[in-house]
Amino acid sequence: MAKSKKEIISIQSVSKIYNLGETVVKALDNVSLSIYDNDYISIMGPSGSGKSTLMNIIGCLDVPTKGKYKFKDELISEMDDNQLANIRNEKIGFVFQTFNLLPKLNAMQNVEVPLIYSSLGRKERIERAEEALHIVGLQDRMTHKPNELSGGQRQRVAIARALVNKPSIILADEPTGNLDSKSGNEILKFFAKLHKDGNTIIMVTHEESVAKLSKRRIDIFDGKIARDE
Amino acid sequence: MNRIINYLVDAIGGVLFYFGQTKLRTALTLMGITVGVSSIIAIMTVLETFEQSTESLVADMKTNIFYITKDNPVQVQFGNDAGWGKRKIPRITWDEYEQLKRNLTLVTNMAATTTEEPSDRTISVGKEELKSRLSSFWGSDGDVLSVSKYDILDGRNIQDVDIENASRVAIVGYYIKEQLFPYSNPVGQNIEIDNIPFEIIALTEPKGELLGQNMDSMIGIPISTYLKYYGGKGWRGRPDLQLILEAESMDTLEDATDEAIGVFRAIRKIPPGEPNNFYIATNDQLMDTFGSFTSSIKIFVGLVAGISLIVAGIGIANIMLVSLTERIKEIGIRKALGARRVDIFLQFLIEAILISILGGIVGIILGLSFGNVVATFLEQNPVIPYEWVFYSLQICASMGIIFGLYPAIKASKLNPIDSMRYD
Ligand SMILES: Nc1ncnc2c1ncn2[C@@H]1O[C@H](COP(=O)(O)OP(=O)(O)OP(=O)(O)O)[C@@H](O)[C@H]1O
Ligand SMILES: [Mg+2]
Repeated sequence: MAKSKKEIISIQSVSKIYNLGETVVKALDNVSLSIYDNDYISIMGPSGSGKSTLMNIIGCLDVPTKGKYKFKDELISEMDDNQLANIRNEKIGFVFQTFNLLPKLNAMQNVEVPLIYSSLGRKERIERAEEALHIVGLQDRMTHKPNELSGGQRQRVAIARALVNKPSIILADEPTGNLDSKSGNEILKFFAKLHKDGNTIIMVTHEESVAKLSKRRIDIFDGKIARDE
Repeated sequence: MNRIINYLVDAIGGVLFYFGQTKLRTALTLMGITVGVSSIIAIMTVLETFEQSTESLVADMKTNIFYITKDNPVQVQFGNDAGWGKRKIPRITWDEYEQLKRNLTLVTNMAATTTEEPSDRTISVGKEELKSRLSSFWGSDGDVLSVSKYDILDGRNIQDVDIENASRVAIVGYYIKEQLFPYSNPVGQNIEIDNIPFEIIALTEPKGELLGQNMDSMIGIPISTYLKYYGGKGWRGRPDLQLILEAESMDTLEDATDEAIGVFRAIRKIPPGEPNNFYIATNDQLMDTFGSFTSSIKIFVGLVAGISLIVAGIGIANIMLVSLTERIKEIGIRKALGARRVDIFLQFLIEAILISILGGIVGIILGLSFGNVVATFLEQNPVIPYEWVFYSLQICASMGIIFGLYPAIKASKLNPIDSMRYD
């Protein structure tokens, strides 16, 4: 890895431990990791190895049980709920395996949701949402509800929603997992383009072929980083 | 600020959407609020029409007038003159009237009246009998016509000579003419009241109905004649008179009432310190007692409506909790995208308020319609009790807040990861 790159995320000896009474699950076990500006990382590993747990911590949806997590200069591991919400809103774009669009809102309104929580005025919100839908090529599907869109189109709406607040990092947990290979490939091409445009992307995947497209690959096994190259 | 507007827009959309999705359940929940609010509004509408008509009734009356009666006439009107059992209140007699008349200096005019409302006396012309009950049969002097706003259509008023001679002359309302003299002018003709013949000296203009009473089903005769023929034996002590007294002007009204109280106490030999055993009131005071009567109805209505609204409120809390479990995933997604606790809290709270207000608006519309139908039925002018419309909306909003609070707090505390996984 080129050392000249700017570090945006620093994870130091982070553990996530679930205490389920009789058993204790170490979903993450003493993980340290740095993520640099314009990285394109794919995370691989068997089911239950802790990939999603790591993504949730990076995405500030969850806090580590132990260890330090720094995002730029902010110490995420010490933050309260509301501070985490603000970071998620401003700095992070999520793409989920199951799209997680709001079914009663149309494409446009779905993309606007993060902007609502950043207190943007209506006019600016519409402009930015239109722009984001343009980027993913859905400018003519803006008033469609999720159930009127194909799986690939839904995921593109979700990507537009992730992009709309111009995040520092885009997190995608198995973004192609629910898509046929053709739509999946479209989405992956899309991530490649976003990366080329300067975005930082972290993607969880099960497929070797998908992982090959990224520039850096991290393997997780039993809550530990087994390989990072 | 932007956020708040966004919540509102979102919430309105959300409520409408939700309403569309779960029509029956939402409608049932809203029914509680609707019933509560509509009953408040309906009763307030009816009361307001009553208040308006009594106000106009009193506005018609002279303000420098006051009354001495046995009981509060407003109570009598609504609650029967049982005297409330507490102490024996003597009737106001002709003797007392005459003594009072001799001793008062600040009163320019004074009349005694006695009224049967309604009256069971038989009214007939020849063989023809009035079929319905007479609404009002009174004995008084001519002043009473102007005090109670009857205009003479034809004929003359009761005069002092009629009082002095106890003449058998009668003033009849328009309904009497319609029923017994459909084709002729009753003035100058004879009418029998309990088989005693009277000459009709005047016909009054039609007045219609007031508070459900036919004002034209009325016959009036001189007070002395009334006492002589219908007062029974020893009539000087028997009937219950209402005294109408007129002060020179508004300015002397207070002095005149004070004087009347003093003189009447002296006539009745009430020792100092004892309360009056008669009722004295100006028109304003009568209006006030009517007001306190309606306000006690209002309190009662308030209690009943309050209970139904609490039940309705529990319904709101319930529907919001159901809505919460149905939308856990949505809340999770919103939180993942940056919604803070307060955002979710407000979203739910605003929704609860909107639902309550929606129910309230339906209730207000129903209540106004129902109340005004009743008012029209009682031949009152339709009104909108704006004050209560406003209160109702306020009550609904507070209910939304109170009963939406718990679901809103619960929603705001959901954890995004678990909630997003929820199905
Ligand atoms: N809330 C929780 N409570 C208890 N254990 C949990 C919880 N969340 C995750 N785990 C456990 O942590 C471990 C890691 O889970 P994680 O979801 O990160 O796996 P993953 O690598 O994403 O798997 P997959 O490929 O199936 O998505 C698993 O053993 C899981 O059972
Ligand atoms: Mg996973």
